[in-house]
Amino acid sequence: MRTPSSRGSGMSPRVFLTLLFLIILVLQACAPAEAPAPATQAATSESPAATEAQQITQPLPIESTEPPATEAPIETTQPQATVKKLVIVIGEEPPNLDPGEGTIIALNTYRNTYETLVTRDPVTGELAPELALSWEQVDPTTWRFKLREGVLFHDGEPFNAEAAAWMINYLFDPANNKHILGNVPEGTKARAVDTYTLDVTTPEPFPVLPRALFFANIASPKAIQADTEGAFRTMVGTGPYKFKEWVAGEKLVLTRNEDYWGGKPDIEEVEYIWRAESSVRSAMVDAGEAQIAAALDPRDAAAGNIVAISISETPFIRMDLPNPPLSDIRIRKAICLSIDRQNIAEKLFSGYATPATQLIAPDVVGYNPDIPLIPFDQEQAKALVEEAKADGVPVDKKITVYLASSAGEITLQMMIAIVTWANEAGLNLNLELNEPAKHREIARQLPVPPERLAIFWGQHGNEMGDASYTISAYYMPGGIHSTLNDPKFVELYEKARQLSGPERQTALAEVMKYQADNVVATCPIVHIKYIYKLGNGVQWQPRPDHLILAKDVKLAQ
Amino acid sequence: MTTYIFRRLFYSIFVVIAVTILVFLLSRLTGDAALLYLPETASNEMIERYREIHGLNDPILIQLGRFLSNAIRLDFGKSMWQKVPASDLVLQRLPLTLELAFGTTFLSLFIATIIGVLAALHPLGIFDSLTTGISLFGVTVPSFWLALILIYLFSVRLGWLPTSGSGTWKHAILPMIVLVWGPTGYLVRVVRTSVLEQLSAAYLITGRAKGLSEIYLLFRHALPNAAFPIITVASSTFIGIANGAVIVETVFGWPGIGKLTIDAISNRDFPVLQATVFVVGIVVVLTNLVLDLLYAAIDPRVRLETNA
Repeated sequence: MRTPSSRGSGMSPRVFLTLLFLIILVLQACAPAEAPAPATQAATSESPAATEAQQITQPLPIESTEPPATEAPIETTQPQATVKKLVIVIGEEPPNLDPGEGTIIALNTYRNTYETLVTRDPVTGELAPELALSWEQVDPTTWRFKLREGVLFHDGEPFNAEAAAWMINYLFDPANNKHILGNVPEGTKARAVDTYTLDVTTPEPFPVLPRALFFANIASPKAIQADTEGAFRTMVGTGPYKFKEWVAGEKLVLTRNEDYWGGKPDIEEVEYIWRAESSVRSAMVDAGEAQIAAALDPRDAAAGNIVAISISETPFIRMDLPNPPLSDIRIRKAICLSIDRQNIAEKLFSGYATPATQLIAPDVVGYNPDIPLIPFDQEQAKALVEEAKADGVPVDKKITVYLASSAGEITLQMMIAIVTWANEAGLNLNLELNEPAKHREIARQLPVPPERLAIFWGQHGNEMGDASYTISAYYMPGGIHSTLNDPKFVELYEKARQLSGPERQTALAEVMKYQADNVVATCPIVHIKYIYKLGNGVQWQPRPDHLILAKDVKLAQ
Repeated sequence: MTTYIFRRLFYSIFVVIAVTILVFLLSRLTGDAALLYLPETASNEMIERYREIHGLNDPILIQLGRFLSNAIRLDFGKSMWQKVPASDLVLQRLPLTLELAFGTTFLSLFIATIIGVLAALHPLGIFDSLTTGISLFGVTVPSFWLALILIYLFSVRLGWLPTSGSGTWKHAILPMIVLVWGPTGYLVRVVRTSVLEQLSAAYLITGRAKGLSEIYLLFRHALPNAAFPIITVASSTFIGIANGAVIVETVFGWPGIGKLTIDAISNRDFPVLQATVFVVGIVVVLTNLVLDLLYAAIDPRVRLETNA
């Protein structure tokens, strides 16, 4: 309460407040219903957690679960719409529409508008033509692409080798620091040989370049150059859908490209919306507000038209190698033996995961089917710990298991279980939760600080489809997350990464086997399945590469 | 009074600036923005380049100087994630948050006033029990759970309301229902207590003795005198929601400031964080100013202080 004081001058409070109220009312009436997003240009930018391409060497299991017999299907009535529209609800809004993004969200949202030189067959996972019709390695450091003719960008500009070269050089220019930069060797350059022939050269032999280009979205160079602010609020590509509008915070809308080179798509409009809560995404499909809900939590996949597909995302733990007791391979093996992968897959992931034998999924080049699944064997784990202890290894030393708070509830439960099981085997593990920035800071602290005993939770996705991406980061000396220094391993890998074709597969598989038998720097846990829910009558097969292509979706009649 | 308003705004802006500077400094102690934005396998060179591009390698005082010289022009820089001016992002989201805040505050006031007054008029009766029930409900029921239950019931099963999103008045109903319980639970007790105090005051007894009706006494005398604590608590509700109802915005996909702020904190999007703090600070200042004016409007005995 204000103290009594000299009387103020001017209008009375009541009159002022009345005027203020009226002003607010008038402003409310005049304000637009939705603030339109400022027009921006597509561009490249960093994006969190770049996903890696996967080479799929065999068809991946696609599971469709029918609703339980006891559950009555939820009747929804869809409003009569004049526009045939597909609404896809995803977990988060893309921060921008930069073609240099490589996140799962980018893969979900961009690829109806942007296309790439090379795509993947949705069933086999093999590389397939898109804007490039064919490609070959003309010398160890040069790949030549024959491009599709007669394709136009959505702004009317022609797609040709010059445009493709400009885009590739833009995306992989270190000065632009795009998210997908790390997918190719620094110094990768493209040039137009003729109107529809493109050469891409790398400073060293890079047999997996076509795979890497799966992430290189080809946008109109004119549109990129026009976006002088680098805001990336629109997309100008060659795909079956054109960018229509992006109401920031609310929706991203695409409209059919009537002149699409692959034929006019059936669905007229695609709308992306985002809801952070998996249960809300699921409810939206049940209520008829969306036709596809992506990235559902296993607990929200109990009913409805659920389709799931194995992807490369693999939760794992990696261990500091330099300091005892973790420097002793028996201790690392004991920790790996203390993980009940089957239980985790069935109980925590509700069956939407499969036990993992290695950090890469079966469809990745270099996957070794001969690496056995590490059993859950606490007796053997105890024996190894006892043996190490008898040899003077300080097994009682406290080992900190670092986990990011963003990992989610299921991961937290999983890690609590792993720590408990490992401690039952005679070790001294302690879980420490940190928020993501802090977790990453600690995880990247290399070389390992003296006396640090750390195990890090991680989740690795090799969408690149080649084991070299995983090995270079997690196992090779100098790798961002590697504390390994094994000369034999290095020798094996250096030979393998120069190869291509079946020889590459064999050689990389041998590298993975060597790591599993002789190094044990990581303990893979499970391979996760990506879960979608489809609306009534919607037909669509999910892809392991996270693309949700509207042209492949059939809506209910 | 005009002088008072200007003087209040003048001093308050310093508070807002001080808070913004504090947030600026504290946020830079919380971790590396580059590590969050770039992929986990990003090279050290990529991380260094990101820091260079965004000026994060500069000494903290240089960064602060740059920030202040831009902030004077209300330029908080570009969002490091969304690459658009941070102030644009915040100002786009603000009206939606204010919509929720106004709606919830008025609804809460409306419900709490009716039930609280009835509870005060009939102590130990059914409305008293309702007061207790609402208070308990508001305190004990998690808003996250309530939101999901309401979505399931009203959207999925009954189909009466949209599950989430914004754009129409129907979209605001479920979020407001979730938000209203907490403040109503507290406010209804304040209303009851405050009105009860006034009902037993000597001047009301005099009024009854003079033959004035209870309704007249209630609306003309008791409620205005009971209003001060009620509007104080209601303004706290408004400010709390204007800061961002994070859970509700997240569950319902309501594109307000709360979710934007939490994402900015999580992603170390410093420009957006700073812009949000500044804008919300202004909202708080203005709310407190309006509150003071309301005091003066309701009670003629209150004079706004004009001396320094």
